[in-house]
Order: sequence, then C-alpha cells, then structure tokens
Amino acid sequence: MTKSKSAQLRFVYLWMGIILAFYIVLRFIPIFNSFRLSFFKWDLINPVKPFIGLDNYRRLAGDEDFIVAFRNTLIFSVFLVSLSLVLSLAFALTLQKKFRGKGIFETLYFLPYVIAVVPAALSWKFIYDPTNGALNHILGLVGVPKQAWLINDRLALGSIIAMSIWQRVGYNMVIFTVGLGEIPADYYEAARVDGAGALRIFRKITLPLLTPVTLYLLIMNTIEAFNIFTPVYVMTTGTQSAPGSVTKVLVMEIYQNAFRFFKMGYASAQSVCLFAIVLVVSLLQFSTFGRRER
Amino acid sequence: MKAARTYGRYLLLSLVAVVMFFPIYWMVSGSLMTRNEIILIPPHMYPHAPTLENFFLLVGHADFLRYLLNSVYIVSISTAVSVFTSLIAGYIFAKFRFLGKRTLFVLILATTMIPFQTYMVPFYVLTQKMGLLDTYLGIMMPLFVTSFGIFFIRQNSYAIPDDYIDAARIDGAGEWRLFLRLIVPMLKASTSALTIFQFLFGWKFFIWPLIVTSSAKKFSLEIGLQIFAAQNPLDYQLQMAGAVFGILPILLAFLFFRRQFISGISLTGIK
Repeated sequence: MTKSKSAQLRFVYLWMGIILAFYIVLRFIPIFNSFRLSFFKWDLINPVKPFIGLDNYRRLAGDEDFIVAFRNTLIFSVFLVSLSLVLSLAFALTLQKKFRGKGIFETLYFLPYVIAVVPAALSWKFIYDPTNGALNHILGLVGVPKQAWLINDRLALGSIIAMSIWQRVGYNMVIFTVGLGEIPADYYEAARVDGAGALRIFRKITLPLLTPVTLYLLIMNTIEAFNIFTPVYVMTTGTQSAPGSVTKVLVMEIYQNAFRFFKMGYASAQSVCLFAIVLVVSLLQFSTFGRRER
Repeated sequence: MKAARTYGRYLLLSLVAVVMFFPIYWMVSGSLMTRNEIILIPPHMYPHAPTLENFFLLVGHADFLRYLLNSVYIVSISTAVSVFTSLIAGYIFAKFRFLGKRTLFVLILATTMIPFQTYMVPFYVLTQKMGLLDTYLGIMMPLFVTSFGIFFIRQNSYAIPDDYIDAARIDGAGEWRLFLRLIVPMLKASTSALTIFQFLFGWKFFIWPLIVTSSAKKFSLEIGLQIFAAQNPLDYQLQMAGAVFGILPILLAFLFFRRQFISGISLTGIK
C-alpha cells in the first residue's frame, strides 16, 4: 500500500511540476512582466532601459490616440455585446421547439463562428466595397445612395461591429440553447395553467432562470469585445478601407506602439490599462447580475 | 391562423439565414470569377463563367499550399499538447491531494480572465530572449496550456468513481498506465469537445503568429492570406479564392462533424 502511495506522489509531483513550469514560463512571467515593463522606458532596440516610475501612465492620460482607441473600444463593446446577446437569445428561443428544417437553420446560424476571422473579414470588406460591393448594390435596388462603409468615419466602426455580431451570434445561440434546455418543462406548464401569457412567462420564468448563462455569456463576450483586433486589422489595412484613427481600438494601439514603434514599456502600460478595465467591467457585471441571482 | 404563424416563422428564419450565409456565398462566388467579371457594375450575383484559375494561381504563384500545411502543422501540434496538459492537470486536480493544490488551482483559474493580448508584449520579449522568434515552436508556444481546458477536464473528472481507480490500482496498474488506459477513455466525450474547441481557437489565433512570424516560409494560412490581400488590394477574385482556401478545412470538418461541433461547443460552455 505504501508503495502505491509513493508511486502516486511521484506521478502527481512529476506532472504538476511540468504543468507549473509551463505556467511559469507561458503565463505567470509574461503577466508579471506586463506590469514591470510598464514602469520602464523600454525600447526594443535601445539597450538603455531606464526606470521611469509612473511616467508612462501619466503620458497615457494626455495621449489623444489612446483616448480615441479607448472610446472606440467602449462603443464597439457596448454594441457588440448587447446586440449579439439579444439576437442570439431570440434565435435560441425561436429554434427551441422541434420543427422541420430546424437543423439547417441552426447550422447556418452557427456557421460564421467556425470560420477563420481573416477570410471572413476579407469577404465583408469586399461586400462593403464602395464601388462594386454587394451591399451598395443591394441597397441601391431600394434607392439607398452608395456609402463608403469602411471609410466614412460615421459608418466605419458600425460596419465592423456588424461583421463581429455576425461571427459571434452563433456561439452565443448555442450556449443559450443549452441554458434554455435546462429549464424544467414543469415551470412552463404551471405558468400556463395559471394563465400566464407568453411575454409574462418569458419575463418571470425564462429570463430569471437563464441568468447564470446570461452572466457567463455577458462576461465572456465583454472580455472578447474589449480585446478585439483581427477584424479591425484586416478591414483597415490597404487601400479603400477605414482610416486608422476612426476605428482604432485598444489592442491595435498596443500592437502599433509595441511592434511598429518598439515602445514596449509604453505599450505595456496600455496593456495594464486594458487589463484593469476588463477586470473592473467583469466585476461590475458579476456583482450586478450575480446578486440578482440569489 | 396557426398556418400563417408557421409560414411567418419560416419566412423570418429564412431571411436571417440568407443574411448569415451571404458573406460565405459571396466569397465562394467571387472566387470563381475572373478579374474582368468581378469588377463589373452592377455585380454578377453568381459567376456566369465559373473558373478555377484563381486557385491554380494561389497554389502555383503564391505559396498557399505551404501556408495551409503550416497551419495544419501548427494547430495540430499545439492542440495535441494543450489537450494533453489539460487532461493530466485536470485529472490530478480532481483526484489527488497534494501540497499547494488550492493555491495553484486558483492561480491557474485566474489566468482565464486575462486575455493573451494583455501580455503579448512581454511574451514577445521573452520569446526573443529564448531565441524562438520566427520558429514553429515560438508560434505554438502560447497555446500549450489552457486554463479553461484544465478547469473543464477537472469538472468532468469528478464523475469518475474513486472505486474504479482504486480497483485498477489493486490490480497492479501503475499511475501512468491507469491514466492512459482508464481515465482518458472515460473522458472521451470531454476530450473530443476540448479538442474541437482548441483546434478552432488555434486556427483563429491571429495576433501572435502575426507578431512572431517574419519569414514567409513559416506563415500560417491566416497570416499568408492577410499579407497576400494587403499586397493585392484590388484583386478581389484572388482574395476571395484565398479566403475560400482559408475556410475550407474547417468548413469541411464542420459539415462532416456538425453534431460533434455544436455539442462540443455547448459542452465547453457549461461551467
């Protein structure tokens, strides 16, 4: 018996040691360094990397690019998260009952989620093309004048939000479907016997019982939305696309500072801000909706 | 009345379906057109003389076949490693007691709330120090562990009865054999769900390969496609063909394993 116990311990410590080593190198050190670097003037090329305290953070407060990027990210997140959650819940509710062709609809709605982001963004960029894009052509049939979707600074961010909703909605729908399936049928039965209408049932039974799933999706979607990069990067590179500042988001700003201007310290300070924002927003969401659950 | 409502629902669902499918349809349609056809105004809604020449060009003149193989290589290996580390760590967290277990688990779990983008800058500095910039290992590295995967496997490991494990031990199975022969098969459903999840995640992972790769020989499909599109901004027919190239592997896998994909994603969503 003792032999087996020591064999178990060896197994545990060997593998946990390996996992811990992975985590130290791939997660803990980089995360810690994100904070550390933010206190230095850390230029990738310059060997002199002086400690400058909070100077990077002070500069952030007056950095117009950063403020614009922050504002854009906020707008992007609010619209993406709220619209994609509402739409995906509507889809999940519609597809809840069994009917003919349900599988086909479910597949088609989920499809955009499994597609890689670069191909999807390129296709949307082509659709948005002002001269021979499909969107202007289709809207032209009902008399809407041509728009420069990705160039016009009042439309660019919205156009990217639309594409992101399209990619995100299928995932949320599947998770909502699981949540809806877990609500006991008796509850609906009892409410119907009491003469409650569909809207009342939705508000008094479906929505409250779905809260844990909604909270999970809310937090996950918010984290992803704040970290948006790829669609913005793809749709704003090259000609005929949005000018950087109109659609610039936080990760884009970090990317450019770090890998175009090699200001690693400054980019790290921006990363820490992004991290702090996401943390505060998640905690707020958790305390607001998590409490209602009890 | 009831029939009208049914038709109304189908109409609405179909309309949404058209919107959801259109960007994919448009990509495929454009990929089969010549340059002269794709720039027509008003645009053709389908290729009037479909041709595969764009695809031949991408494989012949650009290196798309190589990008595809790079992607398959990078994503397969990193998925295999991350599924393995999740299995072993998740199982140990669920079924063993050891020093520092709680602290380590909390630390690991905390990193799920910290997206890669917030520490990619120091990660780059670290990769440079390790001499792994522009290497396959460097590209795959961030994907080797997944806190979500560890958590997911831990939750599912609780369902395995302790008696089973003890019985196998009494029969003389070593810990390693026990894990491979008994635990992994019992976690088959969650393993395949996690594999699908990680594969998709790896395939869509863009920002890190973009930063760390510099030689065209190591481009993943996503990076190769993005750079190709930036170099040929007006050749939409080639961009669309490249995009079809980029979605085809996952699309085929999805259509063949549709049930597993959707149930896999829904399994990984329940926490």
